[in-house]
Amino acid sequence: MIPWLPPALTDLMIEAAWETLLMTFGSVIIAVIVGLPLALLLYATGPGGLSPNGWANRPIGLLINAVRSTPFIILMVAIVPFTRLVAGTSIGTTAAMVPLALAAIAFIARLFENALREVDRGVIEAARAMGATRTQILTRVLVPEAMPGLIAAVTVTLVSLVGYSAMAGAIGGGGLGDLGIRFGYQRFMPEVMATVVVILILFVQGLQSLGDWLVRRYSRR
Amino acid sequence: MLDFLRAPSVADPAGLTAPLPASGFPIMSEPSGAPPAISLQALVREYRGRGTPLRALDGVSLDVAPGEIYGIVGRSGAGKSTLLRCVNLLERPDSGRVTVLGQEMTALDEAALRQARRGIGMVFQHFNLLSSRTVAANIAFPLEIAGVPRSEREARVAELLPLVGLEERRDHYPAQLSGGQKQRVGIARALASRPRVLLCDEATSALDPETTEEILSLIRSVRDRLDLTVLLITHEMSVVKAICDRVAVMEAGKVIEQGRVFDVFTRPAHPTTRRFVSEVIGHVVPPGTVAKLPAPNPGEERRLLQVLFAGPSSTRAVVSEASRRFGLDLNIVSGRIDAIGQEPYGLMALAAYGPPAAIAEATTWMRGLGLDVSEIGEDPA
Repeated sequence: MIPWLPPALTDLMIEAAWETLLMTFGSVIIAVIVGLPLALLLYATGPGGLSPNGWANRPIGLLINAVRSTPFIILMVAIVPFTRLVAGTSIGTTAAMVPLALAAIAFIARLFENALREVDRGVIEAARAMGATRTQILTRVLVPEAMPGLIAAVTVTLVSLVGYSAMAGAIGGGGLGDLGIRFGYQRFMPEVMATVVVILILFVQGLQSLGDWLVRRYSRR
Repeated sequence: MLDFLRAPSVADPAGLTAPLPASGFPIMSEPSGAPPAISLQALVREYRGRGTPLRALDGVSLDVAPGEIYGIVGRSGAGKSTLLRCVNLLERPDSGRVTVLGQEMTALDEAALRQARRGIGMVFQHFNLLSSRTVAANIAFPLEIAGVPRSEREARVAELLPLVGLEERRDHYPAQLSGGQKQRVGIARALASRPRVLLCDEATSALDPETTEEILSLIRSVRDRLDLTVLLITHEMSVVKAICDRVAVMEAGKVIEQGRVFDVFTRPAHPTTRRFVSEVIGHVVPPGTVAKLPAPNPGEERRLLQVLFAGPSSTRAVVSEASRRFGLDLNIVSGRIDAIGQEPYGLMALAAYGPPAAIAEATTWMRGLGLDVSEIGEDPA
């Protein structure tokens, strides 16, 4: 199928691409589900937020920073017991998704928090003056108004995850990056490496364009 | 309208005993028996940061009567914004009491306060519309928050759009509107939950003069039609002149002068108020004119007098008769006829030449006619 590669490698390539898709999209979905409430909590309890509370804000911020500052390759091995607890195994694509999701949660929570901060404070004040509850302000004002920023944050996270997923090979996660290393580097097949790189570039380009298009679609400014 | 230009009433002996023109605007006299719509009592608000605490409100009390448009004017930092935000408790005063429509806001808990806020509309300088919602959805937003069913929301929006003249823009987003249109949406949104009180936070300060006029007349017309009480803050005295019934002037967290707009404009007491007033109606004596006046004859003096006509009296007759009676030369330096709200007034500056005693007598005589005469310095600031 890919003319310059042996047929067996084409199959491997397809399988690896599927694994990469699974790892990136799977963990980004988890990251959005966990990261958005976390970001709302960070925003609400932050200084100048809807209900400032240092006791809630600081530990969460600290935890997020800790995850973000641990190199991903180390994070992956360091949390193996946790991975085994969640995924039932510490090897394979599913297992790789646990550290990937964790890193993505920390990453996206900060990006989401920043996007929420971009929302004009005047709009929040207007909602308060109308008698909106805190929950209403968060769900009906902040999130819709921050939507373009939130979508951009998801795009950035997806792209970063493509890079992270290349390290998933260390725990047998597979994926295109892993294939590139094993065949392209360790077996001296530069054409495999080049193919992987090209596919990844196209993949990232596609993600970015899709993200930009969505941002434009939701942007009413 | 311009009664004071008509029949000379100078010869009328009754005029000598008449009190100062009562210039009564029949509807909006001083707050009468009706309880005030908004009552602020001894509000204090301090901002404690690093360094010395800043007293944004230093014991402010004022009452707004139902149905009136009450203006609070002041420079930035005077505390007017804090004061307005204390009315719906967006900001909580450190001490003092806020009562709106008979309900003591400062005594309410969170939930009751949210409920009370739904009865108070607010309009903002920068409109504060939700950029992700259309005009119609913005107007419906307060109703959505209050849990009003969709069909009712839609009916209310359909009522409000023509009121603010935005039927055509129903499905536009705020970014597609001009400043004036955005503020119309802001006003419609503020009116959506049928409030009895409307707070305007520098509602026209981001708009050009023409649009400002449009928005102000919209505010006045909704007040008339919907029987609203309006409290507005502004740094522009022209806004006060255009629509307010009463005004309070604020400086350094205190109300330094308050009263009917006509009175404050025609007889400002505090120097700051005078400066505000002169911004709108200009100086009584245009700068540079005094230098061009002829010097007084030996033994005589030159005095600059400001004469305010408010109510029925005649300008010409007063000047010529005073001149004859007291043997003075009266030189009209400037004069203007204007109206504040619905009330006309005339303001004239005279250079009086003659013996000091005669000038004093003439002044007393004119005051007896019900004119407001004051001596102004030769160096108008």
